[in-house]
Amino acid sequence: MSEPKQPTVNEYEREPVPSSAWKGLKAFVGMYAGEHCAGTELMIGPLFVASGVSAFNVVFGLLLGNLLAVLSWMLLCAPIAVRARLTLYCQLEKICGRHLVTLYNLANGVMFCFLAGSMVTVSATALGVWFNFPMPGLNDLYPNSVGWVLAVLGIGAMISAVAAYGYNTVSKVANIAAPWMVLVFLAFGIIGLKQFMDVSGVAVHSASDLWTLCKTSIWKGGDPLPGQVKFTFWHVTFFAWFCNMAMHVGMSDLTVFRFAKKSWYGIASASGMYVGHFMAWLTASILYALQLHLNPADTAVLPGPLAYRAAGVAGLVCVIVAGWTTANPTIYRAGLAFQAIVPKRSRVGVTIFTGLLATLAGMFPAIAMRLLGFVALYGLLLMPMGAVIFTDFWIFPKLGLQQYYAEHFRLKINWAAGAAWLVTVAVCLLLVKSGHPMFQIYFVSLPGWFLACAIYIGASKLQQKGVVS
Amino acid sequence: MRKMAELISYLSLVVTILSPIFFYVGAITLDLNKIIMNIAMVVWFVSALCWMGREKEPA
Repeated sequence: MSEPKQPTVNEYEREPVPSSAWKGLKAFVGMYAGEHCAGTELMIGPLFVASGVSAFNVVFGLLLGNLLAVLSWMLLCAPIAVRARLTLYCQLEKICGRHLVTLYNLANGVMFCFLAGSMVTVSATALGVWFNFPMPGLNDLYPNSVGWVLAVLGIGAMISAVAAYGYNTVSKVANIAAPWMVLVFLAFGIIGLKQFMDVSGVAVHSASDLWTLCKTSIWKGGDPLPGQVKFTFWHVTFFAWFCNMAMHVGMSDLTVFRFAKKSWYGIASASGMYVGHFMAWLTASILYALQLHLNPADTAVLPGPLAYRAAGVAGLVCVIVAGWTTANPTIYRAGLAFQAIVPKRSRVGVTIFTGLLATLAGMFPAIAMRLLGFVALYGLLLMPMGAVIFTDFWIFPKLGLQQYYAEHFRLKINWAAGAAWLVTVAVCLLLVKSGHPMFQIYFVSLPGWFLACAIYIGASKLQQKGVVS
Repeated sequence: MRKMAELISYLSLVVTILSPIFFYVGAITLDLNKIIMNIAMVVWFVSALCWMGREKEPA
């Protein structure tokens, strides 16, 4: 899963980035590799196993899904970013007007809070190993022990305080920890494989032996665990493609790629996808599959104990640091989104409030244990605004429609963009509610994107009829 | 000094990944692997703090 980029406060927030501030490819490769190796990867990998994926589906589904995600960054997000060189919020304000951006900020902030909450949950599972309190199971919705509540509260309070007062320090720790964390994630996989070979008595002498072990012991397919949705090849592909939908199709990363010299620098996202969303998901899922192999009744997805069994204290530190360093910028970003709504409140106060909200969310394991569905919902909610930006930038000039309508007519709200956003989300959620397998939350965002484009074009034609000469 | 810290950092990363490989091939036990990974972690964080994110000294 992805985490928000480290904020670049007051860096060309209201103006195009000048060429003197453009950055080379290397800066983006390192940033994506580090930021997509997050605490939540330790939840997502195991949840794939809980969803009954087979080896072929998970390996090739991830290869394809991540490729589609990289192409979305390269072909949808980065080309607009390097032409307009504006932040997402600036671009949105020109199109949608200030009031609609405020609503977008609210939705964004709330989703960031829940995401940060799941990262706090991940870190708290590491404390459970040390203090040995009861931790939530796979199907738990509510906190199940005082120890769990206190652990989440302690970690959440610390993260909130640091996000408010010491953001730069954590940012530095995150940069230092990133290369080490990537290797520890890889180590999880190597250790897990060896343990699998030992407990199953299978010897691996060739790639063919390894693939047989993967098919028959690790990702066996079959029914999902109770309460989980069965994942097929297409579920894995669409999940990998859309788990960062808010960033690529949703255009959040306009803010990042406005600093890129060329639009093909979007390919840098491959470092994050194939390190974090391929290698890390697979290695984390190996550890969980081993746990199920040893005790099929032990279905709890708890990154702390999983990591500790494989790598000892280093594994635990990896879980805490991965959760902490990614929850921190997420809370910071959520705070900035909320502060845009109440600009007179201090940033510190808003960030602490946001952190406490995330901590509260983190106490409820329902979010972390249902992370696959939550991440898909997160992408769906923010995706239509990306479609609006895409349509406004590329299609409007060809149709003779006015770009940046709100800015041009000094509107506080562009109802055509608002309709495209809200109607798309409403239609997609209704489709999900219909229960048809084709319209699961993992799939509806694709037709939803085309729907958002169509609604925005249709509504804009009506809106601009006779107004724009 | 900086170069020495860099060298130690990179070595600790090499050890971080070599240790599980040694465990995989059966050269060391899981417990020993955990100890080695813990030591490599401490060495990485201490040595990386000495140079990562700091300006290079003028030549």
